[in-house]
Amino acid sequence: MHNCMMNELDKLALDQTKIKLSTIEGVTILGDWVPVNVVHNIFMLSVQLELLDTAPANDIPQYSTWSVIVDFGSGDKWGKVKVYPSLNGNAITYTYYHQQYNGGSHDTLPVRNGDICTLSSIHGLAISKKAFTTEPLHTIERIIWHVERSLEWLKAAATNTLSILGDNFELPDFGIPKNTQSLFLGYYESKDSFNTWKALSGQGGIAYVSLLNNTIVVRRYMNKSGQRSVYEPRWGKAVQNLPERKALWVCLDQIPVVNHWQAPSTFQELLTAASFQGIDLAAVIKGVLGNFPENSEYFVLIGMPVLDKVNGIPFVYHWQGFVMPATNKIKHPAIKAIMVVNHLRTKSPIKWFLESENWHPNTLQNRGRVDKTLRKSEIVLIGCGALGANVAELLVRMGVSNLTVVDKELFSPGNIVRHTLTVRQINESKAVALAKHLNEVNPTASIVGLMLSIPSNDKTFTEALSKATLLIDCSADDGLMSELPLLGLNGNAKIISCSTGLHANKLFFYANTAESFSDDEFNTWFQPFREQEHILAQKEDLPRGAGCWNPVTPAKLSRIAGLSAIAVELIERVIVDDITETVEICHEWQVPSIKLLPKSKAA
Amino acid sequence: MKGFQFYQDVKNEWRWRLKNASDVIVADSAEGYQNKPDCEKGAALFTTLGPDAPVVKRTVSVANGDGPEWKYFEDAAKQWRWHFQAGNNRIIAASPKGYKDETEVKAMITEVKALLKEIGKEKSSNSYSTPVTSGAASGGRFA
Repeated sequence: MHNCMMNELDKLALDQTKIKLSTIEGVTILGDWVPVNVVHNIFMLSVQLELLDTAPANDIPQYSTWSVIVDFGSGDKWGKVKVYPSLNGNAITYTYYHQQYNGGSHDTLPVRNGDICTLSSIHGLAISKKAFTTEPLHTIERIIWHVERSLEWLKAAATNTLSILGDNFELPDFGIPKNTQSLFLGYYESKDSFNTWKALSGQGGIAYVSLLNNTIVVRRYMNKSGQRSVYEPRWGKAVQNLPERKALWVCLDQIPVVNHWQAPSTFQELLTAASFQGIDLAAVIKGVLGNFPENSEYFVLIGMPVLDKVNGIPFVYHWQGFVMPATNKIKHPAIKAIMVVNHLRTKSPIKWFLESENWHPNTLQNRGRVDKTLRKSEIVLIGCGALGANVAELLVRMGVSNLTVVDKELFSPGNIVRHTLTVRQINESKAVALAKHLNEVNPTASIVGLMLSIPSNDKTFTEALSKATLLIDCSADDGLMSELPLLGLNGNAKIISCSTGLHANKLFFYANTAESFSDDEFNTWFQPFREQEHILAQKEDLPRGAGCWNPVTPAKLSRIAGLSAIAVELIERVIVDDITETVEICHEWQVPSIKLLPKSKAA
Repeated sequence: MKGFQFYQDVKNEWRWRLKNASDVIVADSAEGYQNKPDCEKGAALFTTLGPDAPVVKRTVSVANGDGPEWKYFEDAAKQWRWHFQAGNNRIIAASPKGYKDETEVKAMITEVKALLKEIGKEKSSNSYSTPVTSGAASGGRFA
């Protein structure tokens, strides 16, 4: 072991690991552990791995050289382990499934950059008998586990079984070190748009994109003349309001790869990968350039179909983007086209965007959203106070995109303590500011804010009301209840009223259809609660706003937010189950009591 | 409770002790560590290396070995003790008390070895790791 300022216990673990590794069949130790980054406590061990019980094939040799990297400095005290093809020796130079881009040397470590995904537990590699599904915690077992997984990976690579039928489909790694731009791509694709692109395979056109922080968001796709729309994603207001610039798109038939599963790193490799699909990429791009007068650098978007599973069926398009260098000095379109095509044939590196992500709600909201019936509802929400703002926030973040929010008041400093708006919105219309905020929490949302007293003849409001399938009252205003159902609201539309008790100790949830809604019925149900809450309020010295006696309702945001969540769950149930009967629920706020356990004797 | 317990001593140094199923302390860390991660690493090394390491009786004439080793000996008070050295002759575990004779100390070593094997096995078979997601830092816990 070379000397360096390392933890003595880590050194002990690495030394013992080496001894144990040397006893594993198929592993030959090629040296000692060497520090490759003393500051960050990163160590490397060179090993030769043998392809066991399998004949060399698929460009995997019988013996290959690898570097085991253990990083004690990245926040994992047991050492983060990765296995890379070695920089020298008989290293593999192609890229396979479950491997990072392996087209060159690593940026900071003396290895090739294609570390293999020994860690993944959800693919064909996991089911082989020697491959455990979980990474051990402690250093020695962990390193041995990664090396044993590497032996399995080699066998699978040689037999072309790294990905097997039914595995999750993985894209090749386009994050090519040194080449990547610090830009991201956000596109909007679904099963619905798949057929559009399938029909356009091998074609190109003009796209319009917007820059949102460091992300290029694709706004719309036109044909190559730029005259006809090919596909226009349904972005919400936050994206629609961004300035646009031109880009160029090309649609391929398959994922463009070279060297088994390696993303093209040069223009020449990209052309080669497209030619494997029978597509002359240079000709396609040349065909668009005539209508693309940009001389500064521009973005090129490459579309490719993604499979639902390994060996499955293509179901959605994925886009990768790169930056095409400027042709500033060239004025003549034909000459410019020739220059670009010539450039495409060179080994110049492609500057791929760092990451690319589908911003379609099906993908962006797949961590959790409300049911489609509610997402597609046309909603009017009246009352943008603490409860209304929190209910709206939950609804819009969870996929609701058609919502009109209404409130007659301005946002005041005292509202901040339990609202979703901030100091920057003080003295702005609550409804207008809330709509603006909501449009920014969901890129497909089109939220409208109206500063109005209800009832109102405002045109935007009456139009929203006539389309509404759900009216949510969060105003806690008896005056509004007496006006419901509002004129113009469809009889089948649901009316749901949500309010809380003093200190948000209760949620009052009342639902009915517009045609059955009765203010009297609501009052009959609510009267006992009204009396209880009134008695409670009278016993308290309520907090006050500024100026003349102006009591405000005491209720912590934790409870408001908690009851808002309950309200949204109930709203979803009413809409999904299409409940047309009257719903009257009083939900008591509850927090589990803390039961203290006897003190441990261990100390 | 069976297993390793980590604690800070009066000098605020981290130590571990190993208890068997009867809640009896059967081994300790022999030394205090400046920080908890190092203390945990000491216990992890003992767990990994202990079960298969040879057991030797220490005499004045026997030089220290290079690899992990259990050593037992009679101390000045005529009590029999053991300690465990890792690869660099560093002692990373020791008996928590003296035993009356050689037979008893050897039996204790056998018991601790079996206990370590059991703990190591439990660690590998009971560990559950969730599929890798951006929000999951630990198995079964999400934020």
